Amino acid sequence: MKIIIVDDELHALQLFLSDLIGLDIEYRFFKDDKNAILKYVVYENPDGVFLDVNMPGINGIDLASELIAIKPSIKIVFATGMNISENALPNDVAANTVGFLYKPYDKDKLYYYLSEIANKTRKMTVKTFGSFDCFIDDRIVRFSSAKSKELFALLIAYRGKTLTMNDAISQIWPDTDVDKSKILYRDAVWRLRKTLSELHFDCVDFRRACLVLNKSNLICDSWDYAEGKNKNYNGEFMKNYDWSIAYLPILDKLNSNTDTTT
Amino acid sequence: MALVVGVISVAILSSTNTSSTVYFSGFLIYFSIIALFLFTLIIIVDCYAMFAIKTSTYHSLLMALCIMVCCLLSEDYLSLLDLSSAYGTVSNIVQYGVYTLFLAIVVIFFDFSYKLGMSKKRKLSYFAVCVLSFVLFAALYRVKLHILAYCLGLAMTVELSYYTSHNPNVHCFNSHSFRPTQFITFALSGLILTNTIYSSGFVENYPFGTTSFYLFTSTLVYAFIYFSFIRKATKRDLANAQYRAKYEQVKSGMLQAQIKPHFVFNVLLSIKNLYHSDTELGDEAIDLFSKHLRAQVEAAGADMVPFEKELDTIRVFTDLENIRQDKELNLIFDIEYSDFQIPALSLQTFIENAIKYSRINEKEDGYIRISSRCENGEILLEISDNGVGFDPSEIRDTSYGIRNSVERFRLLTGVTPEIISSPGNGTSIMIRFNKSSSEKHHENNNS
Repeated sequence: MKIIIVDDELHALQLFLSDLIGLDIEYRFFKDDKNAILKYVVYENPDGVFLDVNMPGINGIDLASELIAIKPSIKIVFATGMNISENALPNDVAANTVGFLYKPYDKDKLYYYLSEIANKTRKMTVKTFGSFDCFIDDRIVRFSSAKSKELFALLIAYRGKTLTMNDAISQIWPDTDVDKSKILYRDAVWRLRKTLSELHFDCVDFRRACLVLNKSNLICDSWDYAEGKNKNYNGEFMKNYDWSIAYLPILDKLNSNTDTTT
Repeated sequence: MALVVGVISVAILSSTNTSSTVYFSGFLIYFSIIALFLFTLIIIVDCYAMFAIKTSTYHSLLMALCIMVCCLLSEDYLSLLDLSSAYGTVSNIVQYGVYTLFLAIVVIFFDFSYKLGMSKKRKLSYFAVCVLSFVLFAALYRVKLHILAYCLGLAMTVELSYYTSHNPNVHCFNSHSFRPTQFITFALSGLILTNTIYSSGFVENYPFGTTSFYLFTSTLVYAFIYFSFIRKATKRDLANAQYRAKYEQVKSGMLQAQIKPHFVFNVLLSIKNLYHSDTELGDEAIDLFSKHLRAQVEAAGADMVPFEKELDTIRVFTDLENIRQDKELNLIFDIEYSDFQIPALSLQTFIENAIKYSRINEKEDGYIRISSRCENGEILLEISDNGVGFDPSEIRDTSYGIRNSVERFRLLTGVTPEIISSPGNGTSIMIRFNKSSSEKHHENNNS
């Protein structure tokens, strides 16, 4: 994948550099030299471009129009310090705009836009053996609260089965009274929804009083284990959560099965 | 007073002349005086509005001017200029002048209709009506059926006035550019009517000539239009202007309250500390802080924001607070319904105050909870905590922020948040409003 980054300020480019090193991306930096940019786009055909909006020589939005005229499939991310809304963009530019990256850049956002430019479906890697953690683009997912993380862990343990509110409450808040636990459940649901939507990773279907996990873009060690794809089980499964004990016998049984077959 | 003068003049006239035509003339004078009185009243009211709203129009003043100019064109004044010998010619000149003017009106009218934000269909139909009415007008003038021409002009004036006052997107005062057209149509058609009636011999013995008769008809009709449409629009705009002024004041208060130097510097210090221990956490804190600043800047440009966005702002703010505090704040988002708008940064103020004064972090199970639900089309929004509570009657002296938030809620949504608290029993802020009212209220005030 080829991208170009246009910014008149050197330190903005430097910040990009530190993030792009190590990724399988061919990149090129430009200051506000319009002719050089146009020439590059004509000859090198990049997939995407990160554009600053306010530069002394050129306006990023105008430049975007010209780039689209040269290469209609080019994807644009506006990397800017000021607030611009999609409404401020002309129609042709808006159609090619992937999003806005506000300075100082949020790394999760940057990786998300890079995968959008590459037209790559992102996968979430879920680690359940030992303690529970999730990763997107090799970066750990930071949940908004411990309980929303636990709720997501429970969804993973359910493996795509519908998780009702009552099920979730009885497992995550077993000792709390009903009214209070419902409030805490809604808080966890709301925070989980926020975390996933900020990551642009919508893998949970939030329905009324129940949740359903969409497994398609998830890679989970315990699921693979159950299907015989790996043998990483070491006797520990989501050990931070009390309800996970119920799953241990199943996994142990699978373990002994695989032992006997081998 | 107008009544008294009218009655006296009628009495004088009827005592000097017994003819019924003259009695009718006296009747006219009586009404002209009432009409003039009304007209003066309207001008005074409009002048007040003009000074109260800086972008005001000169509606009634312009109207008066147009009527006066048309009076000068009436046959009384023409004869005063001693052109009686060439009377026929002058009459023709006036007639052709009217034609030309009317044509100009059609063109100007079409042009101005663009500024009214009408749909294309409506504009075209207006243009068609204009052209048609011009043809009709010319034809009617030919066959001396001036009264119909007058009615046509009148109908158009009424239609426009109606459109202005019943369309919230068209501001009486902001789109007054179309008004001269309206005035000229109105005043001229009045003139033609007057000349027609006068020359028809119906009020032949009317001693004050066409001018006063013209004044009578014009002002009476204008008064009708004014009180049925324009007054309404004026009132609306006046209320909006007062609202706007008040709101701007409250909003600037909010912005001032939002700039909290000590908060900014404290956050910067904690970020600096974080970088010494963990650069990853430092990066995160920087992201949070820039999100927070962005939200504050955005709030300066927006009146109402989506509830979800305000919740994000609060989450960022509390995450920042958590960086600085030893104990994590227990903030519970009990959100069942979030598809509505609230004034920007209004909830943040309540949360800030809860953090500052409720002392929930000193409690084992202290919490702040934001609940929102929708019951029978009514949105219930509640911010509650189980902290130390306070006496709501003391808000006036202590918290500018809360008062400001409450005021903005009141101005933007029409509802007043209810603060329920007493020492030792926690605090709860209840806001109830109709699902539709928040949006509607907002739109009206934005247009």
